[in-house]
Amino acid sequence: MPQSIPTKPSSSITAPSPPASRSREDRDKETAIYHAQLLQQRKDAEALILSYTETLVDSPSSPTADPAHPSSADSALVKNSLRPFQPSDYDSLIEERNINRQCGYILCPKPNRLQDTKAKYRILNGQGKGNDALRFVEKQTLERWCSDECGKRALYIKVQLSEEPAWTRTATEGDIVLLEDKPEIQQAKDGEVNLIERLKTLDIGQDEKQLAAQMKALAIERGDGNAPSRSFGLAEIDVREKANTRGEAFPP
Amino acid sequence: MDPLDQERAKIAADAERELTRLWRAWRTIHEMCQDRGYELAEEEVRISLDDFRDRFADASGAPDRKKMTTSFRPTDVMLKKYTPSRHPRDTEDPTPAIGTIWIEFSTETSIGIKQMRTFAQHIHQHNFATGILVTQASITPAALKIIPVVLPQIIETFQEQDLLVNITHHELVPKHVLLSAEEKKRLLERYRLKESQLPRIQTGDPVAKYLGLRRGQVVKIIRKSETAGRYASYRWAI
Repeated sequence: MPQSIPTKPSSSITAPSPPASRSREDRDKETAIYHAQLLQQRKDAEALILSYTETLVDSPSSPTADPAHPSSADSALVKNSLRPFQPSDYDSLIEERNINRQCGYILCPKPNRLQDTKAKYRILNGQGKGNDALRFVEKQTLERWCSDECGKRALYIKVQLSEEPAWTRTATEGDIVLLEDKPEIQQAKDGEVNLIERLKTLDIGQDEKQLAAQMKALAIERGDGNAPSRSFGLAEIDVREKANTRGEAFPP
Repeated sequence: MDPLDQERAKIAADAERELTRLWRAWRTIHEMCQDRGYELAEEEVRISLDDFRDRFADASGAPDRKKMTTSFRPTDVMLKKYTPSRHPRDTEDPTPAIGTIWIEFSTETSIGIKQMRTFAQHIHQHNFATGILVTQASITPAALKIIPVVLPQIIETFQEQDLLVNITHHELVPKHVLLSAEEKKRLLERYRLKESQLPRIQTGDPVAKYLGLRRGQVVKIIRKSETAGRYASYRWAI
């Protein structure tokens, strides 16, 4: 049941303009309606996410589906419905699936692997040497998936989700890409020790880009104009020696 | 003792502890319903541990949560308290915003969207006004979002561990009394107040949860005072 993501206020809601002639009452009413509509949009977006979560808890459609080769209908559903999600919504979706004893990856019908221990952490043998030889992993994160592959696939989706809530987004972002659609990453991972590590650095890069954009916007808002990165004081300071008029100085 | 016997004794002790825990939660929830004003017999509230064991323990002595369901009807006093005051425009008497309450102890170890939907459907099918779900662990945030969707039917959730003692019996917890719409109106008239000028109490407050307060209701809080004997204050639930 793909529905379109609620669009930005610009189409239906206009920000209250400051007209001169209208009474105060009218203006107050307009402002109230404007904010009420914003709230309503937010509620709609949240309801949409909840309904998608409920659908995706039961996906994929067939119990024999192969997460490595998802059917086109399933992958289309995922690509469509995950767009309004924030990473936190995605995490709660995984949590819901785990409660139903299912792998956290939305296109995987297998049960998640349960650890037969009540300990909080597990020690796993890594593939590397030195610090990488042993890994300490929380039991909870291990139980999230049916296999490491599914974990990678799921995290690959997660890093593509936008941190910004759906109701404040300006434009629709591009489609969600499944790991299976990107064979070059899959091939690259063979040589890599840990793809998850790489995905993490990918995420950080995006954060930095976002931060730079935000800083730029902030600078414009503050009126710094084109020089957002000016780091020292506002006054121009030029240190200069006094001209020596008395010749060389002697001790008395 | 051979190890097998030890094992068996340990299991029995665990079952007994679990049973006692649930007995205390069961009693607290009955006291709660009585305090709210539902129709309960005194012996229902004061059920002894042995009676509880007879009714709800399975063959191994462990409690069977599946059997732990019950429902109560509101008393006339409570119905009156929950009836909104009649507006001059209304042609017929307003209906009370309260009805039969359904109480269920969840058998699931974790509650997600699915379990919550099932519970909401049960409430809906049997037309209960309120449903109380007592859970063993906390509920996922996504599942909590279902609660406002099923309004006007009310779903309340409690954790078993929060019901082990009745908080209102503690000496530091003052007495809270819910005011009816009529009483609230008189209070506001007497002090010439708007309701927003009252002090507030959150609906998530432990005592507010115990009484099942809803937004806009007013509680009277009666404290002991060394100088005045008793001191009443009023709070508006938000």
